[in-house]
Amino acid sequence: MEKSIEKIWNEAFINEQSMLVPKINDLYNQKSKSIIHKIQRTYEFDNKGLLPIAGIVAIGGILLSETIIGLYGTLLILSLYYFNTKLLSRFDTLDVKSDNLTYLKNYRAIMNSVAKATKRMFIFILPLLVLSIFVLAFFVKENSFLSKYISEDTTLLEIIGIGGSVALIVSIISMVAFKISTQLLYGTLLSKLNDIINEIESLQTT
Amino acid sequence: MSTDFYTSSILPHAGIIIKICRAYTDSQEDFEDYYQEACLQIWKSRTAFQEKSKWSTWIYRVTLNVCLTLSKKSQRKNYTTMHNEASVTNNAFENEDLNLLYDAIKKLSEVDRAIILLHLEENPHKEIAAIIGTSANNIAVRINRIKKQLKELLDGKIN
Repeated sequence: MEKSIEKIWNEAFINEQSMLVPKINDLYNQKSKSIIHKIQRTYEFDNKGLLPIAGIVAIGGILLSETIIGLYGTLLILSLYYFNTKLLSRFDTLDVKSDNLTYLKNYRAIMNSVAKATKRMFIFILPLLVLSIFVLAFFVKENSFLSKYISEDTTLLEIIGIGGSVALIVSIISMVAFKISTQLLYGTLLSKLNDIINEIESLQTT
Repeated sequence: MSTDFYTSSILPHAGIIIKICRAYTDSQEDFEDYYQEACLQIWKSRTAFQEKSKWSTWIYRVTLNVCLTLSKKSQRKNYTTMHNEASVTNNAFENEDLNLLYDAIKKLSEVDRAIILLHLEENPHKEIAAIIGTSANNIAVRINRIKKQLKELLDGKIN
């Protein structure tokens, strides 16, 4: 090699001013696509994770000779999966032809509405379902794992009282679990989405 | 980013950004992404510039940080780059010797790439040391080592 690297460099860039400068465009389109893709994947992973759990509950119920309770639990989890799928279908209503900022803002609004609906489900519906398991156990007490805790004299009202107390505890635990899981799964993604929206807004105002 | 800021503060130094981005990318698409991200980060970090160094040094620093971050991210994603020396299209890169040099530079470690680019842009060792975060002596030693490495990689390819 005869030429030094400095010489190659200087000769090549002798007319630096004529260099083609890439255009600044489309950066946020790509950033937006990437973050939306990640959020969608997380939602799908989160929701589809319910299916194996439903299977485990069904098999566990059968193995523990709690077929009715097991199948009922499975049905509840599948209902939850259906409910989540319906919630996530809200994202399909977004207008993909809208501009980047509008799309991201609408996407964030749907994310917030999904989070609110899920929160309500965790705090109110899930405890009610737990209560319904107690009521079911009362009616199938001979075949239920709860039978040892339910004497012949126990009335339905007492069962509802016990089930209601458990449901209240479940509601509190669910609220905490919801906050933690939402923060773990979606916290960073939501904050990135907010950053992109803020950046685009600030770019438009500067 | 305002057009004024881009035209007055970035565009005059676009050459630096292009040269650095070219050393960290293998496709036109990546090259443009890196360039745009570098411009955006320069704009976003403009308030942090304290005029302790030259504006061009600041641009080097931010562009290198962007390239290092993005190339690390693409490595984490197991992104496999296609080796194609003609893939970045720019009239500045039509020089065959330069493309061979870039190919050799790309075989260096990410930090060595940064050091040699700063050296080729005739930055003094002290300034390179400040940008990279090491001593000027260390930079001198590393430049010699990198040049030797490049010479071996280019041996017989350039007359």
